[in-house]
Amino acid sequence: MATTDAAMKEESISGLSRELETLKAKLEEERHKLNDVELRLVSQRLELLPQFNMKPRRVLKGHQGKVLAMDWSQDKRHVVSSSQDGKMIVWDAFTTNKEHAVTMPTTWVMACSYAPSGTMVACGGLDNKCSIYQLSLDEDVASKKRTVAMHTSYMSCCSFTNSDQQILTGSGDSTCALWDVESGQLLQSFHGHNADVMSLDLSPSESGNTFVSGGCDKQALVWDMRTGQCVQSFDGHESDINAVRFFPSGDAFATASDDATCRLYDLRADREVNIYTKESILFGATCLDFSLSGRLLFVGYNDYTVNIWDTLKGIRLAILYGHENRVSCLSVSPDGTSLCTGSWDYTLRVWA
Amino acid sequence: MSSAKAAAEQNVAALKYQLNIERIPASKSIKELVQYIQDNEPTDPFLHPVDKKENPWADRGKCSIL
Repeated sequence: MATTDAAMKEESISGLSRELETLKAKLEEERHKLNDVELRLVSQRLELLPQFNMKPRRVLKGHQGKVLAMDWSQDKRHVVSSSQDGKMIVWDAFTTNKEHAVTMPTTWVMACSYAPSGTMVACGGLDNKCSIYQLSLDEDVASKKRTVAMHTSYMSCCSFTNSDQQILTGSGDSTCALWDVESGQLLQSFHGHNADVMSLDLSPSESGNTFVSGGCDKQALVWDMRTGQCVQSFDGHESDINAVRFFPSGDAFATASDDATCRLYDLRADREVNIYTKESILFGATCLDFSLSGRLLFVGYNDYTVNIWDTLKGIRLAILYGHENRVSCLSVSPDGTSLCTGSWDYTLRVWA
Repeated sequence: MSSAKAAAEQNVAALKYQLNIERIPASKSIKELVQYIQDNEPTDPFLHPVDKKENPWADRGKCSIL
């Protein structure tokens, strides 16, 4: 009896995966119908960008382990970073001073995020939790710790929504989740990835109700935050997606992958529109961000470099050398004047 | 086993939804993407650096007036 049940389940699952393949083929067909022009061809007529000169301006030293994540404060001056040794540090990037340092009861603090108000930070990692710290100069920050989110595996990424009241988290348990910061209540969970979620990013568009996530199933998924529905999905990468980032208009997003490529996906045409790759680039891409206009795409790699790409033409414009180990995280400051990078060499650097 | 089935069902449902979303031709969306960049390039500090005095990251002059 049990064997027939198992056999029936087996059969229904194989039926479902056949249906899945048919649907995927139909989806590709629909997307192909509207594929009437290539971004690179359109961009050929555009002028080349002038040579530009970015220099290392600050080095933030203080972590005693690999830097794994960083985020800018909206004040364009403070940076939060977290590392493999369990430390979370809040920096004044202008002066390079450490304003707060907290040792978490875990190693591999893989995610950290600044609240929009600048008065709180969130972080977590191998402890499977998202902890919130109130930043107060009067009291010990560690005493003001609160746990908001719980996953069943490590937390790989987190981001406050447009308010201090909600936070999105992504996890090795292959889900993303939206939490109420005050009560710690789970507001929505997002199921659809078939492996670890590595990165997420909120849409900058005004409605602001979608976010994108990327993971070890090589997929990037776009979600409706209110309903929990996966509204778009993109596969194309040949290995894990390490990072996702919205284009400033919110109509596209880019991905960085272990397959040594980055890709640009147009949400309204519902397809991949550019790929950033070179034969000489062999190492995985770990992190990425756009300049304010979206014309430049900054990408950190496991070969210790940051490459700057022309988003439109798909050509590499420059390489930033300086880090002495893998570049693990990077982000353009909110005013677009500088780029902060974090590395396994224990440092963060500010370039401008 | 049942969770694998539930996940497969969920993936099928998601793809059915995605099949019916509204799409626009790449020629239109790409044109607007390029337009967005061109509209914002003049104020992109990496492409058009702001005056040194206003750039908090720029080197300060090594000399000062006494």
